Amino acid sequence: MYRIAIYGKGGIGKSTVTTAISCALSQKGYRVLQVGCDPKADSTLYLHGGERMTSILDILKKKKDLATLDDLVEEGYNGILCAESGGPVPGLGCAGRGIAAAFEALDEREAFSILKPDIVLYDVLGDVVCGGFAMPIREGYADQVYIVTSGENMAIYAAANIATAVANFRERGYATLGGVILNRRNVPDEKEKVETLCQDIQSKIVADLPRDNHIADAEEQKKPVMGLFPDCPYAQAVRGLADYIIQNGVDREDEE
Amino acid sequence: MSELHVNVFAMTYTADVSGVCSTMYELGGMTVLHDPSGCNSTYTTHDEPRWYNTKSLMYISGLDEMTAIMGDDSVLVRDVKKAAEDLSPRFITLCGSAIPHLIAFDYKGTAHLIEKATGIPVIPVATDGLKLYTSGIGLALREWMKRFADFSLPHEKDTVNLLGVTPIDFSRMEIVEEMKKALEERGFTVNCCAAMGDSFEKLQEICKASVNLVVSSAGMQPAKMLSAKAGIPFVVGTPIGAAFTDQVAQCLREAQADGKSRYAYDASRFQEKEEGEVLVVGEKCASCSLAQAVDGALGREAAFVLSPDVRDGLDEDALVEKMKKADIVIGDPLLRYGIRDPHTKFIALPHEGYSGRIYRKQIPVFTGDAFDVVTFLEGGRPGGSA
Repeated sequence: MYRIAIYGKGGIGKSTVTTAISCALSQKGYRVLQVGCDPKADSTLYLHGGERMTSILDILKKKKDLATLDDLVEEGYNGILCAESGGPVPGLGCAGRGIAAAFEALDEREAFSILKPDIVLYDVLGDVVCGGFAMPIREGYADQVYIVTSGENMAIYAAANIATAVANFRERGYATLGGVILNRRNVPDEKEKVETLCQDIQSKIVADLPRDNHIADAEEQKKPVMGLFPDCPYAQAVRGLADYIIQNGVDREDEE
Repeated sequence: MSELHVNVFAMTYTADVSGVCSTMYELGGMTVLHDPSGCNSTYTTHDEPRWYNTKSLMYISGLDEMTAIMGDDSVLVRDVKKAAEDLSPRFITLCGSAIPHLIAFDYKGTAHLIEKATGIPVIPVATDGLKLYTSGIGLALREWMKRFADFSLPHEKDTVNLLGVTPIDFSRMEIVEEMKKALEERGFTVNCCAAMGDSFEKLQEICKASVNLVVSSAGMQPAKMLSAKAGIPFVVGTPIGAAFTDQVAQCLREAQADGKSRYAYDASRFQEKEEGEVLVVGEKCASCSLAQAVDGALGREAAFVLSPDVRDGLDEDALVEKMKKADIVIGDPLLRYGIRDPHTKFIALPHEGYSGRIYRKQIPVFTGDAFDVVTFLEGGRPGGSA
């Protein structure tokens, strides 16, 4: 089982990239579980025809211990297993604790040993601001972290912060940095800027994803771009990224 | 708040953190409870029967607000390192209360840091202070075994471990000895008793057994782990009374022969049965075993079981309603106040995880052949008391 966490600045395209990787891997025959780790619960939106699935925390709030694994995980496009941690209403509660609670709920129901995914992808909100947002890279969850960034300065700063957090957590047995995914916004000297970032954080660009209007077209039709436009430049680049992730991943059995 | 619970007479069982402390008490390790301390810290002083007689290295971290907000785990690492240097424990267990749970404290990661700083093995046990003590015992035993048990040992025929034994459920050593004696008289060698009365080294040999006996719900998690990792099947049932102990022994022989785990009592019946002549209130495994023993003694399906959980709680009104459905209620003495019908007979079976040490002297030897169910139902003292 390969376990990957995708981090990056808010709005940089993490959910689009994660969903595209899920689609590419499922099209190659892998059984994929995509876990959205964001109170907005919209990571898997286009795997469900643009319909939001009910989040784990909303289900737990309603059904408590009676919630089953089937309640928490739904099948979406091309058999991809989807789960959304969800979280509190904006401005209240504790989103980080929410992610931890959602992960514990999946653990208690032995999600990995029952669902037996080949690949688990965690799509994590913005920055590692507290313990809850580090959950996906703690021991027993993701083994590798990929950071999505463009050449915009704020995205690069966020990427550097995330890389620092990953490096700081290394002594705890956390995940390691797998690489940087360049999601182009077509700003000047974009690749050079991201390459400089990679030198600073001792990593490398593992995929160069072009800005592609097919993504917006697919979202308009509420479908994943990989399904609707499989030959577009973005889809081709993501397939290369998916291959890279598998070839450089850690295939580890679930501990429990 | 959608539900309002009012407790007038009913207590709650002690929580998972106490279970961890109880499990580790005799194993020579240092147990650190990550918690702010203060009047919260009754895990050992009030809930641990051995606290006043037996030394053990139990510490509370003294988590403060700023450390929690800033996620500054280095304070804990530093303090544990200092204490470990003074005391040189064989291993360290790290567990915690609801507060670290709410800030998503990283048990595994911090355990790595402490281990690196001290060079002493650290076992992370991610308790949350919200679950039943059995959960804490189960987690602690499982994690201890994962780290220290010798999984390469060959299984020895007719050799059994008792899993889920701590003074929270079994109070005194003589109650445990009765279980051992009853099994030995039926041809079994008792290998380990996890974790009461056995040393660190003895428990490392836990995989020598060919079958495990889960004698309280706390034994389920380690039993499942040993089944999956060492191929040792398990039987669930507390040896209570001669007839039910015969049943347990038979199940142990069958499990040993076919490698399949099983219940010695009729688990599905006790799961569903809502009323009857005799209600047993208490920890699930021992209560179901006692209920099965009662059925055997009376020659009919008379008993039913109620096992309150810490997290879900049990509304007193619901408890009183259940008690009304029985002619005889067996449970901790604090439950006596829930009896509304003067014709209902109450038989006290004190439990230290429920009422602490208050009724300790009234706890009968409720295990093994010495326990006579009929005498017990008549209100006598089967097997004697302390």
